Amino acid sequence: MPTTASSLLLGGVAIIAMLSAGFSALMSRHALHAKREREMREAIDLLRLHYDAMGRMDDEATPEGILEFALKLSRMLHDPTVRESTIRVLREGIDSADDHSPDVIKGTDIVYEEYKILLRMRPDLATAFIQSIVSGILAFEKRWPECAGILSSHVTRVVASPVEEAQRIVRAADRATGLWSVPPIDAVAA
Amino acid sequence: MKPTGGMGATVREAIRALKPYGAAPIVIVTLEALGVGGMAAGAPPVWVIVLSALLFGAFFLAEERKAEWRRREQELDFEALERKDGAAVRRKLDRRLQRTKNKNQPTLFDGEESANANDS
Repeated sequence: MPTTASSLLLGGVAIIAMLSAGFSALMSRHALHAKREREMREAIDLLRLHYDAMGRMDDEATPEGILEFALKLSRMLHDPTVRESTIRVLREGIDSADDHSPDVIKGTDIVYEEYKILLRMRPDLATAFIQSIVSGILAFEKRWPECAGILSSHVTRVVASPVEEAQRIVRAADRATGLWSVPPIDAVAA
Repeated sequence: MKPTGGMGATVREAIRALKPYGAAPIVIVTLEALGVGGMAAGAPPVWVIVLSALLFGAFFLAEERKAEWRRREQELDFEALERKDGAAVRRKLDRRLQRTKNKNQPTLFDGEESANANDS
């Protein structure tokens, strides 16, 4: 019966082809889900590290400007009301939102000066500050898929100069939202 | 010389290689075997193909749903961490900031004290 044999062969080939295509689609989805789950696990670990580092900053020796800045960054990254704006700003580019007005530069200098003093006097607190900044920013990037890869081009800068990079991000988000003011110039200067 | 030794090792190797892909390879091999077996038993090929596609589609959707649940669970873990640990740490630091600000606040007597220090 040649007809039955050929239809059986054709049917078998069709099933194998269809299921192979399905398997390949399933595997690509599988890889995508696995990647996202890995990112979420990293985000959770980074967030835990962020809060742990912030907890270590609860010390009498932590300067006011550093405390205020760390709190501002943490709120900005995890506040649902400004999240969309922060994501948009990060997507559009941090550099374009740089503010070179004298007030901002003064505020930037104050936090940076405080950080340099802290590094000499209490390196443990300076380390906690940097850890809280880097882990907070990276946790945010891993958590929101819209941000995927946005900060990868800034990773070198985040590692090389975390304070400046964090300030750049805060300024960028500040411009977009209008909710967050520039670093606490008056409070620190007082 | 065991004639099935090589075959057994190959099967074990194949199972090890397919392990990361979960149940998908088993489902696919089963569907293929059932489909070809069904056609060999005289079932109409078109219906066999349609049925295999439907069964595989159901499996695909179930896998997607499972991944979605796993992701949602992780997102809830993240949000819980933000709400509980995050709020507690920020409250603690807010109090610390307030104390530091109060400490740094100049008092009415500051000027007097420095004047006295200058006098003496």
